[in-house]
Amino acid sequence: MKNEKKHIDRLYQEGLKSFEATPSEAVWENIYERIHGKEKKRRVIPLWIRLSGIAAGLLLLVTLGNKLFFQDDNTIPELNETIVDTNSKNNQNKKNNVDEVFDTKTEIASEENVVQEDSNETDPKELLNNIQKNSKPPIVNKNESFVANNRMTNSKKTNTVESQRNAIQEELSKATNDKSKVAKVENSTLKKLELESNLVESENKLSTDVIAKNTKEDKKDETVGKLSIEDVIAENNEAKQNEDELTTKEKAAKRWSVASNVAPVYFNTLGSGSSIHSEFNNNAKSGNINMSYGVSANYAINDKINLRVGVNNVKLGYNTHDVFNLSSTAANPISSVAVKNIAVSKSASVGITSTNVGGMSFAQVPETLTNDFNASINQELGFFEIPLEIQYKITNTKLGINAIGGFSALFLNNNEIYSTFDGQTTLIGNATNINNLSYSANLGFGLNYKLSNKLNLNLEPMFKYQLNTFKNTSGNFKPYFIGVYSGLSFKF
Amino acid sequence: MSLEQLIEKCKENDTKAQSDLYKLFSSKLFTLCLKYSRNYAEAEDNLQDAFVTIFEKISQYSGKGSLEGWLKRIVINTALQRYRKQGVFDIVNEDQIEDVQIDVDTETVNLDFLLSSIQELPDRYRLVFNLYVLDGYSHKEISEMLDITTGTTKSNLARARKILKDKIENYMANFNSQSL
Repeated sequence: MKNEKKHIDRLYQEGLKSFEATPSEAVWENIYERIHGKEKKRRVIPLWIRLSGIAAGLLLLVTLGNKLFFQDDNTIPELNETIVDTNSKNNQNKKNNVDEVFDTKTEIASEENVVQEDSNETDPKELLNNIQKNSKPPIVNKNESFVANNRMTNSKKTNTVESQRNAIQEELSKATNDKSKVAKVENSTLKKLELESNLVESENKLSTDVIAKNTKEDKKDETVGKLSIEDVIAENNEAKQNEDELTTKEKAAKRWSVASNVAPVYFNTLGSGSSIHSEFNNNAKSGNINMSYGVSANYAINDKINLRVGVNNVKLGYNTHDVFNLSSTAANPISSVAVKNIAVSKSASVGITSTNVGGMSFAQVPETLTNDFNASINQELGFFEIPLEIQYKITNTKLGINAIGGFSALFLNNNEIYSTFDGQTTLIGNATNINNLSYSANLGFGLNYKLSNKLNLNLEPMFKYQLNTFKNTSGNFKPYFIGVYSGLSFKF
Repeated sequence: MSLEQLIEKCKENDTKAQSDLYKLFSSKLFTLCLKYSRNYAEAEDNLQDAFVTIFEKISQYSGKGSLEGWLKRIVINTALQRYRKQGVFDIVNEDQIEDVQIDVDTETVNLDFLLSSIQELPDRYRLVFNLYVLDGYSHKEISEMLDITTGTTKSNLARARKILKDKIENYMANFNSQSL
């Protein structure tokens, strides 16, 4: 005990003189955020967000572009169709009209036939021909020209209906006159004078009937013609809307789909680095082909764009070849060197003689030794993959083509390193430089074949670029994997 | 890079320079914050506020006087702003001020105890004690900083000393009874 009398001020002054404390890192982060708020956000955006941002932007552009340009193009032809439709309707009406006129004419002819008291079965056509021969100008020709006229007027728009009507009436009255002339001529040739007046009367009556009929028809015509284009468009739109509603109803009912997939995946690196140790940067490496399988749920945002999320179990593996193993008895070629990224499992390291090895890369070892001590390191990784992807339909026929972009979150669930030496595979340990959660940027295209309305067969080659799976990698190690995903999707 | 260059860069809002300045002074200023604050969390809050002010106002730093002094002043002001509003205090008659000599075992009274005993003081007492005893401000300066009379600062200081003395005596008593 070292009691001493002290002024309380001095006690604190001395006691706290050498005191120093460090604040937590969060303090600086908060300060940074407060002074650089927005800049910081820009700074720390991971690559995948930027990539998917670009992808989303592109998609948006494509969609908007599609809506703006293609839809406009679509509406104009529709309008034209409508107009054409009305015209053809009118035309048909007119044609009918004309036909009727024809009919009446034939009737007249047959009536004339009756009057003729000729041999019982005279073809009305023949009769017509006769009439044609005899009458000037011939009724049929007149009618033909009338039809032609009519057609011409029709081909010019509907707003000429009024004048057309007049024309028709004129024609008709002419035709009637002609007919009466014809009748007269006929009558004279037939020499049935006593019936002449009757005939004229009946013909006149017929003609008036025809006129009445025609006017009626024309009035109908007129009303059809008067149906403004707008009305027709409205009508058409209504019809289209109904159709759309139907289809959207159909689609709303089938926005969701689920899919299963299985894929062979090939893992490799774009660069020449190593995830294990810089010693292996230049070693030969090969990717393994492993399997990925999973399910996904797919939501159709519209008829072009689908959003999907899923869960896959994916295994990846790759080999580093030509690893030099000096202790020939040991299956573990790397025990002799502290490899920074491998936690050597205790069981594996037991009984392994430690030797000082300057370099482990095969290339650095004298040739005489090489054949006997050539091992390889196999890294095997497993992930739960949560892909979030956007699927854009390029074609939507029976065989659909899609562009797919997005990213995946990868949760590490398996992490082992083996060595293969003399055909013997031994577990060395596990990699310490793999992030438990990492991301990949995904890009690919999909083919889907409609087996039925509900069932699709999918084939999707995908490229997945891993963004931060490894930390402390050596050299230019840029891992990626390629998978050809196939499976069935079911709409509901 | 010299301190002057660092300051110039900070004035240009250079993030690297800001980070360097923070690294250079954060510990020292955090220690100051701990003494002026009620606890660790509030000390961090105060440090954060202080540094935001520092980076916002660094262009006002003329170069007269040490940078550290300027930074400390901002930290203290930040703490004062937070705590000086606390209201009622016992006014201790100057006659009643006791002898603050204390029998103490300097090995037993450790740093943690000293710090926490200060932090536990009522806000105004803590501020006055810190300003006067640990940071060497005069009663006149303190009275201006806290907008109170020197009589009050003296009274507050005496009260703070009394509380601390009691605490140490209690602590020592407990410690001795435990060790016996």
